[in-house]
Amino acid sequence: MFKRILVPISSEFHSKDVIKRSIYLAGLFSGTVHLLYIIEEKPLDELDRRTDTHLTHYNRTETHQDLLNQQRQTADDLIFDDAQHLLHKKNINMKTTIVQGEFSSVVIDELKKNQYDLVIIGYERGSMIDYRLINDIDIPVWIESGGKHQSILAVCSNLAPNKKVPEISIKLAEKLDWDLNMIYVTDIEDNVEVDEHGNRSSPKPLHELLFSRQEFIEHMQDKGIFVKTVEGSLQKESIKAAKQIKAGLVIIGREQKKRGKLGLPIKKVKQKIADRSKYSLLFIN
Amino acid sequence: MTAAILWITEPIPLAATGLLIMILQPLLGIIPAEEIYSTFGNQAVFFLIGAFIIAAAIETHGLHRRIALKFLKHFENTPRGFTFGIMLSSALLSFIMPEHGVAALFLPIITSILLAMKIIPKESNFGKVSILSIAYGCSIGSLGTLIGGARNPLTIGFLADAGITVTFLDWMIYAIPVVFICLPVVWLVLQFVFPIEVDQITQAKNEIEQQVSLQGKIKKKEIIVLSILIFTVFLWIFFSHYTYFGLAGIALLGSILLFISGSITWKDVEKKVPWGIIVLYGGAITLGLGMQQTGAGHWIAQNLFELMSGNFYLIVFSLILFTILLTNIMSNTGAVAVLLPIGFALATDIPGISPLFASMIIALSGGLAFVFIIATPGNAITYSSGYFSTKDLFKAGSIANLICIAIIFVISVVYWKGFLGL
Repeated sequence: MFKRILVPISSEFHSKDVIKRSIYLAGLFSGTVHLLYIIEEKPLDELDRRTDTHLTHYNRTETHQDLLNQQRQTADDLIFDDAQHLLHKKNINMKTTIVQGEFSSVVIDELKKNQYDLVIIGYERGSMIDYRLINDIDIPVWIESGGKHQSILAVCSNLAPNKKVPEISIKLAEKLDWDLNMIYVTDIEDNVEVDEHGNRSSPKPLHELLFSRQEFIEHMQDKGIFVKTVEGSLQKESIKAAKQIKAGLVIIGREQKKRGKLGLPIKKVKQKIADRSKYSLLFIN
Repeated sequence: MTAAILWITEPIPLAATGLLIMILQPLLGIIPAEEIYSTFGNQAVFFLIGAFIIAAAIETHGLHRRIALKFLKHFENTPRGFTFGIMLSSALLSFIMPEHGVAALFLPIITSILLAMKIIPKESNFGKVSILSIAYGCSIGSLGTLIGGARNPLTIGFLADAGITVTFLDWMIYAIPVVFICLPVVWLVLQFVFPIEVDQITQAKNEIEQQVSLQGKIKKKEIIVLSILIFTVFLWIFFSHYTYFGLAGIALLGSILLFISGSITWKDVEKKVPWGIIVLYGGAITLGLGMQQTGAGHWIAQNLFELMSGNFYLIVFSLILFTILLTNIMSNTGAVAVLLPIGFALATDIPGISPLFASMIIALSGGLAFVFIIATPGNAITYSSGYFSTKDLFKAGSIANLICIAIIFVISVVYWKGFLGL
């Protein structure tokens, strides 16, 4: 399932838990890990802007170079070294690269050049890092929070195709030997249905959404999975449910939510979930 | 107001705002153009130029690095002592060089030590305290002499226009107590907010030894620059009050001696003298002039006076508080330029507050920008190393700033007013 794992690490934020998780999953799926350390350009550009009056171009270039050297050394001597220690005695292939650029752009470029099955990242709220890759890439993104709980919450809803989430959550629960809990959120803020191709329907009345929900529940029951049903906002209900069951991992599908409170447009729902969630998340894109 | 907004939001470089202020005032009929541009003939501008050239020579020959490592070697015994050493060393170097230059110097030295100790950015309190000590040490040290920050000569330039002379030594007498009280207090704040988890710094010692050995023996040019620096500082302290000599004259003399001795070339000056600050300074001083001449400063002072019911202590406290708030969200020099005319106006209305007293409150409070990255280049430079977050800076900086408000209040009332009779 997750054989080729990409682990982008931003110079702005690094979490040991991310590397631990990637090595664990690589071990589980006999996969490979590529640690991609990204020296963020934005803080360096911001520094240039803030000091352009007080430091000369020559001084700024020197400072810039000092910072780049420091970042490279941090990557080599601390992060990659640490990762090598974690790999000790494990038969896992690990590749390391240092790149300068913007976090999401670098990841998207890397995904165009090479094939991966999973991207694992850390997440720091309110940081300078642009996490748009969560919404913009087509492969699963795992956001590791370092939690200790061992249960999966699979979130299905009227706003997603609900094909990959059940499939992946069942496989992952078996492989990790974790409990599997599943909820179906009928999102009343955005009352459309999303088909298996990811296309949104026109707005539907509640009873139609509930009918589709019932079909899904019965389908899951045939596979021996009990699905809890909830009505509300996809983001809120997912986090609420994760809190209730103390989830170790929340799996969310290719949601296509476009409307929020009072029917107002909403963007970057996954990022909003990541901002508010203390749990590890797996977005099946 | 426009200047303050532009200096806070920085849609254009700070120096460009300085230029804008200089052309807007004559265009709006506030001050004649001749008067605006003649402010560049101010002694303080040439003092800055001379001081920057001397700092450039220090940098060119690596003398600043040698001095920094020499200081740090005395604090190699314990992790806490080491962080104090960083703060003290940055502060002392900021006596002889502009603070942002000191921050840019110390950063690679300390980060290489942290890397040798395998300190992971943002995860270690020792890392946070070490890097924040650079930022705060530079800010506090920059108060100590006229060289540390452009707002200091801006203040004495303003005072000189009002017929009040403040010599190099006078400034040190007023400011050094603030520096040597704030330094250990702010260091203690950092220890309290980020308790250090490291218990030995053997790798730091080794790294410093390595860097010292890379420096090699002191070279002839370094000795010449050091001698000229000591000579210049000596003249500043003891001879800057002479009418035919003055701060600027001494600064330029020091610069010329550097050129004559071959210790610096014009190419070095082009590379290392930040002319943007001179332009920013020019804009700041004309802004102050404009606020004074139009009565804007007086209007604000009147409102403040009424708000505080004319109470001396409340007004002093508010001035300190307001200066520190403003300096945390905009350029220090800009903040001081905006507030000096208000301070002057307060001095005419309130018995017990002299222009010198008000100016020193504003100038020194204006240097204590601890809370935001935008507050001072030192904060921005050290933040870019990645060892602390904006939340860390806010947390430590808020507490440090609150305590420094109290320190400046006590020093201003007890020492400046009570003892020196300012």
